[in-house]
Amino acid sequence: MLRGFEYLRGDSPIHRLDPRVKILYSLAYSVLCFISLKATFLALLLVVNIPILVIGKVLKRWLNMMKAAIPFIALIFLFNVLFQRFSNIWGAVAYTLRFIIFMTAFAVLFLTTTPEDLALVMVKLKIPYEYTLAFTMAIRFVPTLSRELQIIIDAQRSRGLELEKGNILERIRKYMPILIPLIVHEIRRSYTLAEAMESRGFGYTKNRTYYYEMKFTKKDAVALLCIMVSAVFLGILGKTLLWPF
Amino acid sequence: MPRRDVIEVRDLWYKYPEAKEWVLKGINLTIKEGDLIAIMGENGAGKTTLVKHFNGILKPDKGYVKVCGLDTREHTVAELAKYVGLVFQNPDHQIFASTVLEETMFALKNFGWDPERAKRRAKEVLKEMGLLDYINTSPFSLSGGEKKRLTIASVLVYDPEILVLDEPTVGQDYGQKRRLAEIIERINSLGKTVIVVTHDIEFVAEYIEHVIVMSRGTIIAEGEATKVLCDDNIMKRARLLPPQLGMVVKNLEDYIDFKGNFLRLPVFVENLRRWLENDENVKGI
Repeated sequence: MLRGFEYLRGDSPIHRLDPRVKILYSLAYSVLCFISLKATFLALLLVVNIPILVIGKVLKRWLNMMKAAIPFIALIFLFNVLFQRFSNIWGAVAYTLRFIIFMTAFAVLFLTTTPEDLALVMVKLKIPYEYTLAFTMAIRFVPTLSRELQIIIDAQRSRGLELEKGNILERIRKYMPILIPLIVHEIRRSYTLAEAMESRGFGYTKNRTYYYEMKFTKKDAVALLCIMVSAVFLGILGKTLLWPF
Repeated sequence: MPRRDVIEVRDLWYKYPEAKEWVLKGINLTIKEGDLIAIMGENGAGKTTLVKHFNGILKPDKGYVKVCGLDTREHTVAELAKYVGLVFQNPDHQIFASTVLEETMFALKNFGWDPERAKRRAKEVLKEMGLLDYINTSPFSLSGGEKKRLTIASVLVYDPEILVLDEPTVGQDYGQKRRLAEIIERINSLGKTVIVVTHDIEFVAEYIEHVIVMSRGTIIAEGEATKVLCDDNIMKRARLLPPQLGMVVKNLEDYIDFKGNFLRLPVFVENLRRWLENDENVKGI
């Protein structure tokens, strides 16, 4: 259920890029998909993303992500068809594509960047380390939480709890025996975790050092240049060319 | 009268969704009514995965599991749970109610028992488990051993024919372990089948005579504890350390012919006494 948020390690030229470059890439594409509402232009934007996903070896995971998002995508399409006064269906297609590109742009970032790297960026942005840590911990504990949730569900089902039966209200009530152990367990764990961290000197000094330092290499500079040039080029293209739909 | 088979596992293969490797690779197993069995093996051997098939939480990818004649593929967990009581390793994964009594009655409510009758039955079981004084306290305030007994009570309460305990001795001190063993023996003496999943070899050596050893998703040995647990080859393959008394017996077997379940201390001592009483033996040293 929560597996989609799990970060899987990988290695590719995209993985090795400076996370700041990737953030800029995501931002650039998010801006680009808002400059025009032509379905053909947006489709081009989406296609341009595909080679990046292939180089990053995350095409399959991106497809899985999109599959999971189908209900949302369908909903956006449906609402636009029903409630927008477009002369034809292309407007609804454009809005849907905009959502997909937006997701894809950030998927490139999150599928190829470790939570630790993102944390380093946050630190560079002068966000207090406590908040950065909360962010990385949240990601780190997703798989643990999902495993634990499954064990609790299994334990209660073993005592005859049937989650599938009953009306909506009954079903919500049936989730109490699952949520209570989960919350109690997690609160206890967070205390233990805090103690274990404090006993290893967490918070001893304000100016902590980091095991990994981000380095902006020549490759990063080249990638940054490519992103900027292509973004400007696509931007001009989107504004000037007469796109059919 | 021949005892009937309560659990029948035939060529069971299983892998977790999205995983590549099989966790269980062709398990065949028959457990008879009234058996007391330990399933042993290192972490990741597939012990817990196997017992989760007994009440249908997991369904076989290949092969089948029959519980009291019911094919687990055709019945829901709730239906199978009436026959198989599965006690999970960590009590914190199931405790949720505000009082010990309510926690114990949870399964009975799910099975639609009349509240008064359920209350009577829950009190009965809590008394057996030595928890009657706590019926109105919060289960979260109990000690580790008490929590464990509460989880056993919350399953025993609906009187399943088969009781499965997953790693019951983890985090329990010596006194709590002895108490657990007493409970297990008492339940078993009432004719119930008890299956204990564990890698606590000393606990098994002391209290359980029939052992199944698993390694990497297969059963590599089954039989008497005195034979299986003292077999270096099996123990090495299962990455388990033989029980201490077993190792002592191994070193003495050239001189003494041990009989009975020598892994139990009284039997071991009796064997030793018998040997020492024979003057011929003592002269030989």
